[in-house]
Order: sequence, then structure tokens, then C-alpha cells
Amino acid sequence: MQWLNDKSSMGRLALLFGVLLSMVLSAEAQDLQTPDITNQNVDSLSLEALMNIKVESAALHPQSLQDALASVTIITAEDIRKYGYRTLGEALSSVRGFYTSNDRTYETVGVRGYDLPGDYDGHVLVLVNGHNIADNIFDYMLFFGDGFPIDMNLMSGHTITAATASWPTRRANWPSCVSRYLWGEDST
Amino acid sequence: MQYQSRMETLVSGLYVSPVYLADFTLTSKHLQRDFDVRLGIRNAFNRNYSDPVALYLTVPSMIQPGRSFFVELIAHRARPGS
Repeated sequence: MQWLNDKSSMGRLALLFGVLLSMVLSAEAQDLQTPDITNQNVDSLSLEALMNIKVESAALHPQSLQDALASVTIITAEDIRKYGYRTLGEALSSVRGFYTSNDRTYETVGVRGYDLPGDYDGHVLVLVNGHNIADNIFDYMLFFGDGFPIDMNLMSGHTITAATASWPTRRANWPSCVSRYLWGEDST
Repeated sequence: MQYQSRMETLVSGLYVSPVYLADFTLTSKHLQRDFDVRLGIRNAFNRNYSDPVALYLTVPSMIQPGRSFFVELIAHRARPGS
């Protein structure tokens, strides 16, 4: 895993993995053709309806699941109630590829090997209604445990969208802020 | 039920062991008009496991909590349509 510490070699990789975690107000992200997944069991939706669910977190603009260049998992308010998730970390640990780590000070979330000990989720972008909530000094995201500013019981009407995205390192079409948060300041 | 695989720590060649974790949650639905109750157990089988950490070079892993219980009282605002 030495290449993870070598920032210049990171830039030469053909694809890199990034993570966008976003809580989006479902009603804001949906149009007339998009099923409302907030208050119904997604198991009852047809495959076509599932593919038309709109997500914003994969590319920071609304797109259907079938267009999203990402592995997307949507956790509904009903899932949170049913499984009793008390923290964002607990909810995300149910998502494939995600894992949590706790040093008794901070709880962090990793995905596919990212979030080495000491990273403190500097490679993870967390958006609440489109707003980045990482700390603005070190760019860490340390709120996956009890410190998350929104109680999980207040998630009714919201969904958590966990997206694991793969992007080319050339970021010509991506906002610079996204690349900075995902790949570090010297990414190319 | 969750499975946490073997993970390498920052000390080369030192790993934390894989572990199965079981959580149980019991949640009421419409117990009262404005209240619900949630009971839960985390790490129900009291498995001993650790996570890799980077607090100090001499502490490559941190023991995680054992079996724990919680009781949660949930107060709702007025439900839509109620």
C-alpha cells in the first residue's frame, strides 16, 4: 500500500476510487417520473422504477441510477428505523465495500481500502443537502459517530445515498473542489 | 450480522483478527401516538476485536467495545395525517 502514500503515483493511476456520501432531500431530487422512495418499500418497485431513481451524490448533479458512474446504495428512512441505526457510521457499515474504524476518539468510515489509520476520512466527501460538512481546516470528516450533527431519528423524509465512484484522474470535466476533496491538493 | 476481515495495521506484518459481529434491534411502530421505543444489543456475543489506529506508533490497534445494550425513547412530532 506504499502507493497510497506516494501522491505523485496516485496521479498516474488510470482510475481512482472516491466516495461521495450525501444526504439528499428526496423531494428535491425527483421529477415526475422518479418514484418517491422516501416512504415506501423499495422492494415493491419494478426494476425500471429502481433504475429511474434520481441521485445527486455520484456526480453532484441529478441523474438516474442507471446513468450514475458509481456503485450506489440508498438507505431509506425506513431502513434506519427498521435496523435501528444510531449513527451514520452504523448505517454505512451495512453498505457493501464500506467499513468503520474507531480509535476511541473518532469513528471513521473507509471504503475499498481507503481510510488508512490516520487518514481521518480526508478522501471522503460528505454532503448534507449538497453542503460539504468536512472541517474547514484539515478537511477531515470526523462525524460518523455520535458527533454527526443530525440525529438519525430525524431522517424521516430523507435518504442516505452512499456512492462509490470511479473516475479518470484527468479531471477536466469535474469541479476542482470535488477533485481536491477526493484526491488531495496535488492531484492531477 | 457483520463480518470484519483481517486488517493490516501501520506496523508492518501486524494484523487485527477477523471477527463476526451480531447486533439486534427491536423497534416499536406506533406504540403511542407520539412515542416509540427501541431496544438494542450491540456486539451481542461479546466478541473481542480491535481496529487499526494511528494515535501513537506504539499503539497500532485499539480494543473495541464488548456487548452493550441501549434503550431509546423516540418522540415524534405529529405524524402526517394523524
